[in-house]
Amino acid sequence: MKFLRNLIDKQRKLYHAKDSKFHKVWPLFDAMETFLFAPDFRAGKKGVHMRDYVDLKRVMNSVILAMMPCLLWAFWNTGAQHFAAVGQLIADGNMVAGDYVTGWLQGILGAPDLAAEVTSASDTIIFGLQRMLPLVIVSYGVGLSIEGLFCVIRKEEVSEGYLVSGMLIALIVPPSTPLWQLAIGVAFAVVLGKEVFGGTGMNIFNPAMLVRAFLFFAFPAQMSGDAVWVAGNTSPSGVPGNLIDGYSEPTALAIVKTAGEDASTVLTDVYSHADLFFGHIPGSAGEMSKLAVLIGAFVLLATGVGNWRTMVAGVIGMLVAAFMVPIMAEASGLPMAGPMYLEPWEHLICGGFLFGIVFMATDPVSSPESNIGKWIYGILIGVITILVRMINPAYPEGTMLAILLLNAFAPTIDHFVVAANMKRRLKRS
Amino acid sequence: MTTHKIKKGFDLPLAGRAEQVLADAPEPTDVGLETGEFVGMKPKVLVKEGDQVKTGQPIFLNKLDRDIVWCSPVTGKVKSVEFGAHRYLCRVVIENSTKDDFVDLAPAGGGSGDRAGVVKAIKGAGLWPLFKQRPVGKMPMGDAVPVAIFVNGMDSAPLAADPAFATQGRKGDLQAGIDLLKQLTSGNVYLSLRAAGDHQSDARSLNGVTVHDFAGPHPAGLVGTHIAAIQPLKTGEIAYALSLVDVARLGEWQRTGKYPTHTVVAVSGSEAKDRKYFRVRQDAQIAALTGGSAPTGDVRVINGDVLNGFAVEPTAYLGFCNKTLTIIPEGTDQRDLFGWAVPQFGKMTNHLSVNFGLKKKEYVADARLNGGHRAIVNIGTWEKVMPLDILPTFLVRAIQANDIEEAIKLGLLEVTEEDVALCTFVDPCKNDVGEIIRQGLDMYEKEA
Repeated sequence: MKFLRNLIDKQRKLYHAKDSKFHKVWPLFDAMETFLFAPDFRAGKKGVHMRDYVDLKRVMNSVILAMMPCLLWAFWNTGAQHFAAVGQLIADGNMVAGDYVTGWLQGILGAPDLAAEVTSASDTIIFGLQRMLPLVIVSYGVGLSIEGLFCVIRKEEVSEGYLVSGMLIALIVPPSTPLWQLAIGVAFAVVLGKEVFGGTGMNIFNPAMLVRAFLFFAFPAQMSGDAVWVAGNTSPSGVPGNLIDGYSEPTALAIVKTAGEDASTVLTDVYSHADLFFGHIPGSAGEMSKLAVLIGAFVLLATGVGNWRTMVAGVIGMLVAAFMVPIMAEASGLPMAGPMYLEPWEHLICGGFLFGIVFMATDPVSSPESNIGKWIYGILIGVITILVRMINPAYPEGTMLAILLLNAFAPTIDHFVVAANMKRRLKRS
Repeated sequence: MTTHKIKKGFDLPLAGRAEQVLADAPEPTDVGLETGEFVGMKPKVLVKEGDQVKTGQPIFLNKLDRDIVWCSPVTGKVKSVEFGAHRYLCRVVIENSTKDDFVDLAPAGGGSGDRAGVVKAIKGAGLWPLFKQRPVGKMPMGDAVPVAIFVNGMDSAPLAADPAFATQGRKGDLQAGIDLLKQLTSGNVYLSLRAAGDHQSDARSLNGVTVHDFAGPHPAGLVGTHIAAIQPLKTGEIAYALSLVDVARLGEWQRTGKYPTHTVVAVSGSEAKDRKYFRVRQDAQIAALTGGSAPTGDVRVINGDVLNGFAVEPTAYLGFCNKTLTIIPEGTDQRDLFGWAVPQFGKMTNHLSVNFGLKKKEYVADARLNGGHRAIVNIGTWEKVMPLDILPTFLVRAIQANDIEEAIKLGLLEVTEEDVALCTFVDPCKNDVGEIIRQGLDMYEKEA
């Protein structure tokens, strides 16, 4: 410990003073140093002399911990889905086991045994890591580099906000996303979604959601949300990205979209409720296992970092809307669609709504700050998600659009809460 | 009697509470009258080095209202007159001869209804600086008549002295003080006491006050909380606030016609050695309370409590309004490895993310910020410790945007830095909320 401290103190001299050699990149050194050792700041001479032990690093760290179950499950399930798809292709005679191309990690750790009846756990995890790790690395690498650059330009401490965004991004893009697309998306979201507003704490939209939206609209072929994402290793001609050639299956919500009155049965024919809840489905890491999301929600609430109001309000809003919208549609003679026949609770375990409301909507910066505002905000996210799912003819999933829309309206919601507070005060005097 | 239950807030579980024993502190070798406590005051010194002064003799006055003076609590020789930048008077140090030769300070005429006369008498006796005016939370200036006077008989701040204990057995002084206060206001004199507190028999038997009980965590014992619960001020109204201990000081002067030379100060904090209540000479050297020598080592000596006080040199003097002297570790050069990630069971926090449920335990904490300053990221921590009907983040943002009108609409005038001290404490982004509130109040004063 002492050795490390001495080493850093020695290096510090090169960066800290205004006229020192590397003072220009002091924010980067400071970020590294405070990553290791808590910063050496003490309370001022006047006012409050003691501070809570929690800093923003720990707050962000808690969120990352809460996302771990999702990430770990993605390591496993991405591989599981891949080998299930490959197995299916071989069984159908559409592929020969010998044609299997190994990826970078498989090249290092050994090719998977495709002949085995049950794919081994190590093969599964190796493929999961092979797909997921690059996403995490690119997301953090690109995002943190840009953040660091802006901090150097602005001469201020590097903020921790991106540590959460980076992980969120890796969890909400399909594992088949080409890395170059991801890099462009991250750069777009960090520069135009965050840094132009002044960095962490100042942004209007959730940066991670912006990445998703950017990819969704810029590269619709890979991201349209109705074809399923089973990641492969090759990028054959005619097949965009790294999808497995010749293998595609609609997502749960896409199945429902095209179904009729029997939406529930059509859905459970493909994915059972247990599959949907425990996450034995292909898709983005965050939308796979609802159980992992619930564990994350528990961590967020237990550490007091996430706001329960947004989460509860969102779930209530969704359930009520899912119950009411079909009734209203029927009464007003609107054309009925598949999602309207789904039980309200089935909407909860389909798609990315749970992940969105637990991890994305609770973002303290882009959501309303008042507690009443959080209720309104959560309920509206639930309602709009259902409206997109049921009434919009194009997109099967509405969580992303609902959250981004409500991000934009968060200050408006707050405005009314603040106005009510002022009115109460005015009445008193 | 009404009991108000405060739900939101936080009691810092700090080690080092002062034992409820009252002892006489030794006579200090000298006393120091400091100006730093009274922000915005323009002092003019009335004595020179080497002058012989009597107890109760004016030492400096406020140029903004020349009736307001500060008096010597001792008889002796002026040892030094210290100036700071722009020749602003910092402090006057007077040697303590320990034998008091009192200047006759005429008490205010009793019950004549002559408010101006009473005010003038209090100012002349050097006791006006004991009052704080709401809004703004500074010494009252001007002729505005307060609609109420709030006497605080409790203090919920961490390790703070209990005013009820400190004034035990001084019923005569308290009653005389209350009678004096009644002549200053057009409205009520309110006394706030801790619900089911100890040592309150004297305070509860006072005549002419309306007693309100307060229960719950800090800031249940702050005057800002009391005003909001008892009688919120309307636009343009002002109120006076002072501690029960100071009422006793006023009463003592009113009864005897002599300057109240002694006050009661509680010594607390994990680094204080002898933690109890001391009857001590006003403006005494801090060493008088710490066994004769100034505290040494890596400590922070605070005139006041850890949420609202001035850090001073260990060799300095007690403040004029001090009720508590807190000594905590400074925490110089202590930097925790991976402090943000490792579970910390020995650290004091209001958040659940550090030690997963604060156990009933007393913590030794130091003056470190435990993090770097960041833009406001509101995860609801401020709201959890703000019992007033105020939206602290919006208020702070309005002040930061220099929108004083909006800030006032959001309740700027209902708070001072001490009311938002807990917000500062819990903030993971390490913003000094009190400082921002004070900036807002300064802006308000400038515009008014």
